[in-house]
Amino acid sequence: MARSSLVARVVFGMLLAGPALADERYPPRIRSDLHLAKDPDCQICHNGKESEKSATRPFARVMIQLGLPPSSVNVEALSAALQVDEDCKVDSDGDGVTDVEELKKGANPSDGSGDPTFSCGDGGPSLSFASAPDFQTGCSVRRFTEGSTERNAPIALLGVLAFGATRRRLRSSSHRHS
Amino acid sequence: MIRHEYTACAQCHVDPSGSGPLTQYGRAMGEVILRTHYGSHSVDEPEDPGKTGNFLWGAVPLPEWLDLGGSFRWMSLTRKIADTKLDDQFIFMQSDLSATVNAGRFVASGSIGYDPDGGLLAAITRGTDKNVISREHWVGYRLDEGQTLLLRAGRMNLPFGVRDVLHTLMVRSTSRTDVNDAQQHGVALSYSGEGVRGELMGILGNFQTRPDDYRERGYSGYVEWAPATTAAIGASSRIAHVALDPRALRPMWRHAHGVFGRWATPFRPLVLLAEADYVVDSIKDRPRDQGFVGMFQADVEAIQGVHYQLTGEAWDFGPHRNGFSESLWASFLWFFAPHADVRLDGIYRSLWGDEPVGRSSEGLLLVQAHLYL
Repeated sequence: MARSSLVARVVFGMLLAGPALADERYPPRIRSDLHLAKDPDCQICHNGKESEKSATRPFARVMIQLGLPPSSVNVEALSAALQVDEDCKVDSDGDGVTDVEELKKGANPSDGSGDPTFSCGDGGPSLSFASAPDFQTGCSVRRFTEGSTERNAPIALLGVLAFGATRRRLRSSSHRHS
Repeated sequence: MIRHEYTACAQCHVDPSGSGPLTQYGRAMGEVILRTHYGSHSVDEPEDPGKTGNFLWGAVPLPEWLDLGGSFRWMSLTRKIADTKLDDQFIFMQSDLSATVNAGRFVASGSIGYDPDGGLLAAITRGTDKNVISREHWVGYRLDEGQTLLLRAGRMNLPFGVRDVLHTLMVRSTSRTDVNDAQQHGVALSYSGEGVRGELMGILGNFQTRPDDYRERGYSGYVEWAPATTAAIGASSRIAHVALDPRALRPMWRHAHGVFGRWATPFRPLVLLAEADYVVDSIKDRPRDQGFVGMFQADVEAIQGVHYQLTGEAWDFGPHRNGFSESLWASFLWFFAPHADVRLDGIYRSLWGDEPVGRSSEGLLLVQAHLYL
């Protein structure tokens, strides 16, 4: 596919938007576009329960960077992104097997731990994927890193408590004097 | 509650902006004026809630300084979207226990629960499912004798718009202010006065997610004026910035600004609620998701504890505002016993879509049971 056509498809996909919700339309679209035997599992995109907020796995992030709107549903943009993904042999999880190959085998293109790779060939679009740390949830017990703003929370909490205690002491002191 | 001329939330809820753990007074009011009474009590409202209005139906007396609670909600969801097969799910929506301690002007409140589906944004444990979660945990200090001003710090619901248990309403999900898992850590100052209430929260981020790049910073707040005990209007605003959106992997500004209102009409069984917001998700170097989101709800309490609700939603939200999507909820709610209610929601959504797909529709049937301690 010519580079201009590919770019046009990506731009087209980015410009169109459907409403939020109903992302249940995505698995059948992936199945039909890639001629899969069955709908792919939700876990190729979602971390845990399916919702807009949980689409943080590598394949989902790549689809969004290829033009899928992150806050609204658009099956045409999904098709455009899938086409680029296939043409550029994108490997979202960096495990050495392309996304489309993994999907056709019924495997998960998000279960590797590497950075995305691609090979668009001559005349293909020039892709670049932002590298980003894993989005992690749950509480963590670890040292604050230099410059981290995480320390603001306990400091704010201590400030509130100190303010309340000081105010109370001053008030009770003035009551005693009066 | 505006039907019963309660315009403020702080009397019945520990959170001054409503929702979540109840005060002892709130639990008693639930018994007296919310649920259906049978037999000789069906006409006249009993003034004494009795023991069943207390924590755990009165089985465990609590000291005045302590409020314990719990909320358990289950749902069967059936969904049909055009061209896809029927989808059935059984969802453990909520299994939370809560505790609130009052010590003079200090107050501390927290909840802990379990979510088999993960509840990732509220999770304490680090699995992708079957997590222990905490939606809220905060400490506060009442700044005045009249208890109108409360300064809080911790993880809290974001003050914005009509706070509703329907967390999937578009006004809640697009503004990221639902009571399910959209809470953030921060510092908030609330005011609950005669005829005016409001809250402003400085958002420091959701400290149950990592790394820090994914946490948003900003503010969220509202102010509401009640010119009468049966009507209130308000305005909300929220602006936050995140260095790295976890899906788009780019910086994002998130705006939501809107108005809302509540009115207990002269036709006493009928109460109206409405909210309209303008929402912008501005991703760096990408088209903005933006547009209007609105909801309107009519609630008729046919007899005490039995509600019929009609809720309409309309939204035009996305990179290009080409057409509105709509949804209509027809709901039946019955607060049938002390601390227990059921609800049935039939939902039809008509969703705008780009060509060649065009407009599509979906139908949902929700059956919920709720028990609180």
